[in-house]
Amino acid sequence: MNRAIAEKLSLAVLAAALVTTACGSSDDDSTPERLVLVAYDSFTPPDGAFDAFTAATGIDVEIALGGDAGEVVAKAGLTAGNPEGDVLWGVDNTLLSRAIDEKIFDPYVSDAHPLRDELLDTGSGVVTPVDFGDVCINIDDAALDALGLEPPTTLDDLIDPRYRDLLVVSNASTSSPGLAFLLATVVRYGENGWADYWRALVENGVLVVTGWSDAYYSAFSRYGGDRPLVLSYASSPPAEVLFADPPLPDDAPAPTSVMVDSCFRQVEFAGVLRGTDYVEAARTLVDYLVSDEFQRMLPESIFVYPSNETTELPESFRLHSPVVENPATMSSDVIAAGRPTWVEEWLAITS
Amino acid sequence: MGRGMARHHFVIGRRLPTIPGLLLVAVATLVPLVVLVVETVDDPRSVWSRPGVADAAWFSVWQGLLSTSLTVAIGLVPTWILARRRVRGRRFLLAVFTVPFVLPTVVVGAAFLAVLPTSLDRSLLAILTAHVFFNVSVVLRTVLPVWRAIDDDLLSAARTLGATPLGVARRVVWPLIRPAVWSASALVFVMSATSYGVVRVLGGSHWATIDVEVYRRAVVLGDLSGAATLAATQAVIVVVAMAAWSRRPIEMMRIESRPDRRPRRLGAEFVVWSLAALFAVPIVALVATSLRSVDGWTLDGWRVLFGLVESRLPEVRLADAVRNSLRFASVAAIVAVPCGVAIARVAVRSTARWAWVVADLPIGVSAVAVGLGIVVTYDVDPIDVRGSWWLIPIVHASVALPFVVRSVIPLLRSVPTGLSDAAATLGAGPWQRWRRVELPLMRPALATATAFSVAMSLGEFGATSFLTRRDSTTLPIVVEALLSRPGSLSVMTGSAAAVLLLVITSSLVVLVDRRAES
Repeated sequence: MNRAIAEKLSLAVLAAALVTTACGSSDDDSTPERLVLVAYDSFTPPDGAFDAFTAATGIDVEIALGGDAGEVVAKAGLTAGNPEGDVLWGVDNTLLSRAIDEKIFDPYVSDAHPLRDELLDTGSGVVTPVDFGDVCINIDDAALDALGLEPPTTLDDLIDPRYRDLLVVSNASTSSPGLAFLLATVVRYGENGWADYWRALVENGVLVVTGWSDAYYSAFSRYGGDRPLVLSYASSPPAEVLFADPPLPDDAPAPTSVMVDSCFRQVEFAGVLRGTDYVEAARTLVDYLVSDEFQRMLPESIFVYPSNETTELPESFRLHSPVVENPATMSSDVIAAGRPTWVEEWLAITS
Repeated sequence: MGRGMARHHFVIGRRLPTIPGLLLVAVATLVPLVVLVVETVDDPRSVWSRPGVADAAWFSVWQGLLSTSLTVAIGLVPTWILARRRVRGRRFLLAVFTVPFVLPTVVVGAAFLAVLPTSLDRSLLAILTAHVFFNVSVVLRTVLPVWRAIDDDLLSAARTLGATPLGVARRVVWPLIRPAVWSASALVFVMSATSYGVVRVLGGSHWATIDVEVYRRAVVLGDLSGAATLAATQAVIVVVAMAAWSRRPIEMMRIESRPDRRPRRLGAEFVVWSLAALFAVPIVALVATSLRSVDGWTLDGWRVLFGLVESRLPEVRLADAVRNSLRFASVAAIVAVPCGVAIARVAVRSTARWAWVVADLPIGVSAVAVGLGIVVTYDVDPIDVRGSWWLIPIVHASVALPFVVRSVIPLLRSVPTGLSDAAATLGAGPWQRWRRVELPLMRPALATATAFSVAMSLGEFGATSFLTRRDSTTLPIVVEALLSRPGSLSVMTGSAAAVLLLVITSSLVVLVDRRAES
């Protein structure tokens, strides 16, 4: 009897799968006027984010996800000139130089919408800045309070023995926030001073883990770890309120805060992929990506700040995300030139 | 003379069925790897002196050997008890020990981080424990049927002749199970030495295998030449080593549970149940994470996952992801099972090794290299198929192929060969013999092969994440996406999705296993 049930169940599963397969395969080839937007896995704009674009131009937008940002650029480099899609979203200032060297892009900087002044020149005249974010140390306020400690305010505080064994960061050689924090220390302490700073951090018990999720969801005190200071983003506190469980009212204080002095600015770009058959349409899509209509959706869906200067921040960001006045910044050329040596030396210091 | 010719001809005819399987490996693994090497590699020797490479190679080897020794030593304990003692809940225990092998590394990594004390996080011990957790089922599945088949009379005869229990174990049992233990070790070694997901999640900044170094070179450092060189070298070494290490393909057997009249021993039962309890700990911890917010226990993560409550998380397209996962798994099975069974049939009936050596290739190739290789290979018309949805199940099928072959061979061996010949003598044509005699006898083999293929496909993450479109997202990718954003609800919903994946995978495997037995 068990066997009969099992047989029927597996047949049903198989049949259902076959039906969906058959239905799913009928949608190809019929609409040539479709653009493919290549992006990293965590590019999750809300459903219908491209409806306005489709309504205005009659062009559908398909999103091709290709791993993390580094993997997307590696793939695009291999297929430069014969790309997988038409527009690429998400190359950032740590990867841009490599992308330009490998001639991934057909140069295009959108001037269809007003962009923030300080971002205008960051794309080297090849790509358009579409958003930015700050990688910063986040603080579990309650946990730090329980230890009787004031929140640290400067990078120097982090090597103070009072904050011993309290910080977790992610690996600069495998994770993008990890690299950003390493660059922040290079900016603050200079080519000759950053290595000493890291030796002092190691001496003071910094924990280095593989990626952002390991840091945030296993070592950070808010999620069961024992470290109240974690490397994350300036936009993480609004996420803590929006995705709190049980739900919090929007104006409730965020449970975490940001150490503004530790921030490094990441800028993300979109560009037209060299070799696309639809250069004009692709440019129109880049224009749409920086339109207020699209930019409005970015903060609460992928937790970045809009590059369009007319786009207003949602309430969650206005209330819970700090204004980072002076983030550390570095041009993509300087990053590309220094990164291999810095990362190797960093690995030697931390492992 | 004429007879010899005829036989030779016959053998070639018998090997023809392996062609689809070999083609699958060529299309989804071999050709992409070769093209990647041709397009990117210059100065392949210099990569070995670059920082981190030699360390990664050395770590792969010694960690692989250490993981293998531990896995075999620990795995033989439940194998021995389940082979020689009567134990309550035998079927359940087998499932507990088997399921980890087919769990996605994303899920296992998350589960281990949830359960390990912080001091052990990201340590060598964590990596070794995870490898043991994953691979004990290889030892169990390979050695148990052999050990179980040892005749009781043989052992009592040895005892009657004055052998001590240790003497019996050393002189009688060990020689009989040694080939199976040896085969299992080879597979466990390769699985541990090429470990990617586990080492990336649990390795912190300290440990890297060659597969992790391939990722680091290709993606972080932009050194594609180095990455391709490492990937190709590892693939060659793995295939050669597998061929040399075990003279027959390593077999992953179906575990039969015939009734048993051996006495129960409370001690043995206690040991095997305790081990099973340890194996369940990471899974229980994962379930707990899905139910625990910062303020206490709640079902909200599950409610959001199934869309029962409103949340501001980007919509989890659960139904789509489940449907895609099942669709890819079925297509992968439809491709991998016939290909794998054909290769296994040839392997059983001839001594030629090349077919299953080639079938082993996908085990040794890094998923990152496969993903990049596919992107550069199939990029010109008329084979520009990079956006096609079916590329994903084809890659899944090739990843599953080695395990399909392994699980089918022992079942095919147990099919009496004389029956088909007898049917031929009685006048049945080839088609009739196949349909009436062979197919019914092969049903258990087909079921087991399907289970492996489905499980491998459901859990595959590395290559899939390179090839997905937004409308072809799978369950492991949903898990990863949820676990990579802040907020209580994200981690609860992500863990709930991981538990769901675990439940779907393990119930399919157990279901098909049971069906194979009846």
